[in-house]
Amino acid sequence: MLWRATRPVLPVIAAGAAANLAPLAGALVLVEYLFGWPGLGLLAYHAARAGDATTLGALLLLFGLVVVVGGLLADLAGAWADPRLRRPRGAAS
Amino acid sequence: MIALAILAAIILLSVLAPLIAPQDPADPVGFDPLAANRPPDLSWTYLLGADGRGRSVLAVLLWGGRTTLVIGVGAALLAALTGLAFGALACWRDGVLDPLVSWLMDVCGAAPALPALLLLSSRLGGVPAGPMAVVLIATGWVAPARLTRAAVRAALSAPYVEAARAAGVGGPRLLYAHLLPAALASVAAWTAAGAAAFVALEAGLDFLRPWFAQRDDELGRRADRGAGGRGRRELVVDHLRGVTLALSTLALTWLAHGIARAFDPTTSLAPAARPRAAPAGANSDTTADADLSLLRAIWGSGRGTVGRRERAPAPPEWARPTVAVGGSLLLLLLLGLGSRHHDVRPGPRPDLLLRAAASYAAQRGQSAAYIATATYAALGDAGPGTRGLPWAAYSSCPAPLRGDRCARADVQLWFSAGSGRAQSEGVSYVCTPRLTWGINPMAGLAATTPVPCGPLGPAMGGLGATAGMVQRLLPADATTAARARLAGQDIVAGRPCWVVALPGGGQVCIDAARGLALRVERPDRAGRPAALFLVTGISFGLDLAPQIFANPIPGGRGPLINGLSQPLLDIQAADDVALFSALVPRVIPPGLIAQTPTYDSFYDETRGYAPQDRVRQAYADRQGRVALVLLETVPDSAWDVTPPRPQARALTLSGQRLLAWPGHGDQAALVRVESSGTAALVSSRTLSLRTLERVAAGLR
Repeated sequence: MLWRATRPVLPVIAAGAAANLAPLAGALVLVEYLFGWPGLGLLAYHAARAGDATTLGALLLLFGLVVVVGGLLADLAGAWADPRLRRPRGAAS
Repeated sequence: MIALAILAAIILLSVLAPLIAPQDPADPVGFDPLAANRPPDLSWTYLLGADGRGRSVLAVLLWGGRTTLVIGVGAALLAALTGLAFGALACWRDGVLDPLVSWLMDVCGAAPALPALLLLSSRLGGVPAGPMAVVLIATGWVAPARLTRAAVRAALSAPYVEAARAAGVGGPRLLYAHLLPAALASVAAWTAAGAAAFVALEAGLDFLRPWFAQRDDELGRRADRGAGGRGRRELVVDHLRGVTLALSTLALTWLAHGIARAFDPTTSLAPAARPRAAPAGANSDTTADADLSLLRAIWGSGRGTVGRRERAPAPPEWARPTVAVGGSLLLLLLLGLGSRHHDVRPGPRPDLLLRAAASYAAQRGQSAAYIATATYAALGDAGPGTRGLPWAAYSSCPAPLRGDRCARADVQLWFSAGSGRAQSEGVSYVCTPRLTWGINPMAGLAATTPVPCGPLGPAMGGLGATAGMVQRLLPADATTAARARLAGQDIVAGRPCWVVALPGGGQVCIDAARGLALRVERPDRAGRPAALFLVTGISFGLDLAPQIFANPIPGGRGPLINGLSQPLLDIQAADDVALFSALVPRVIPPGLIAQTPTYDSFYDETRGYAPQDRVRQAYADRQGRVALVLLETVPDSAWDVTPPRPQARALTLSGQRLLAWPGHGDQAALVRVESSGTAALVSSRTLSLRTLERVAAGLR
């Protein structure tokens, strides 16, 4: 019953979550710096501090990749939940 | 609307900052160091107290707001306009534009802003306001573009658009006057929220400040030690900037909420006029009624009943988007005007710096007889040093960030050496970082402290006589260094130093932090110590201590027992050195900073020590790699260096006769010039021969 009720909302939620991924990278750097958690964010900070543009570029690419893949997963989840999204708009259903 | 009022107040205060702020916090000498950590009182200057440097917190808040608000709000407005344009473009016709713009939105939307800004800062050594705004816009235009695209697509099927098309309204006009207004509501709301996000992002970048990291650690820690720790009052002061930041962000978000509500017909109209949802199975009349009232709601001002609105003349269709676009451009213009920095004040301000130096010395209990006198010369003029100091004629201030302001201070330090007195002169640059509301954990100190952004002149480096001086002043014994031993700690001139007892008799006190000799003693014949060299005290108005004792021995820190090398002969020689180099470079390639001269600036590996005949000055780029070397010698002396390579090209540039040797592979390119009795050799492995020729021609 719960699933029947929440199923149409899944594409919307998934899209919203994917949209939140892009600012996540920025927030990640700040939070990891604050708490000192060893992770990609702290790596980005130290790379910026040391002038390591190579690492920073790689991290930028990585974060972008995460965002894109997240968007893909969100679209897939939406399509799985809502059959109307499985075909391109305008095509004969 | 309260949010609008708060925001307007903040913007107004920031724009008027140059007029109403009690001090200019970017001015390195405009504050009173004795007022450090002063609690708030009723004077305008110290309304909110003073921070650790004696700066008025009110001034910092007002001036910092300019930068933060301009970047945040300005970038948000521009991003909104860009997003509107792209979103409308995506709905132009059902062609190739839509997938193209959508792809562009995906690409730009995937790039995170803060790591991109970090990347920029690592390349540029900081992020000036322009590139920061560009990055914010480049990553931020995606959201309003998506909103616009969705709204315009939805509006395309509305009956009023169909009516407009039937009336013959063409493509661009339709887009601008009829479709864009549908998007304005959400984009306007986004602008305010986006401005809040950008302001927070800029503050976050300031919080990290990776380009100041090294200086942060040094200055922050040293200033902490000097200031005697941080009191509770300091924490409150530091957080005021964060409070202002939070307040502005809150106001902006509130504004966004208010805009959204104002545009939404379900909340902005009087209840009677709100469009009601059409009941199920309604006939076309009711649908037309609902559409009509919705139409009226969109075109009307949103207040009052619909009936009254009908009687008023309707504004032309293009009014709304024009007002929106024009209004935002006007606001941008105001922000731009309001953020213009006034120029650094011209003319010397020796009085202020002297006062600051005296108060600083008094704070530390040092005698006022030993004071650093400095003159503060603004960098409006690109002329040579005021006293003909060598290496003092930089034509540009090596400021790390273009938004910063840089002041050049010519500093003299006097100290006594035995019975004599010597003085040295040098040049220091002091940069003040761009003021924003970012909260820096180094707190107020590192973020607003004047940061030395350039090296001191050679005499200053020679000032701190190196620990190797021991070898020269004591009885010549090549193995002296190897047998030295630590004999405790002492404090000389307020700096802790290690006492090293030397086997030949005598002792030297070496600065614990920087490895420089602060006191060198040699016993006389009777065995009594006779101080040969003693730094009696150092005082400074600006925190030049880190640069004064820039360690000239590479890789050395702490007590230097091993690896003693040939330093300057004595202090008088240091003085002579300051006078030797008669050639002052007037042209330096941009981005190069003169390295602090070290002992080997006056030392030749093969012929030894020659402070009066030879001096070598190296210029490094921002990564610390040496890019240019300038070697000045007395021509045809034993120290003169003439490149052995045969192919020399003689040319005349700006009235100077030059000899040029192009570089091959590993060999450096060389240019030699003789001018006013001094021969100079300019060499570089990375710069081009033309550049070297210009540098050499600019030596006077």
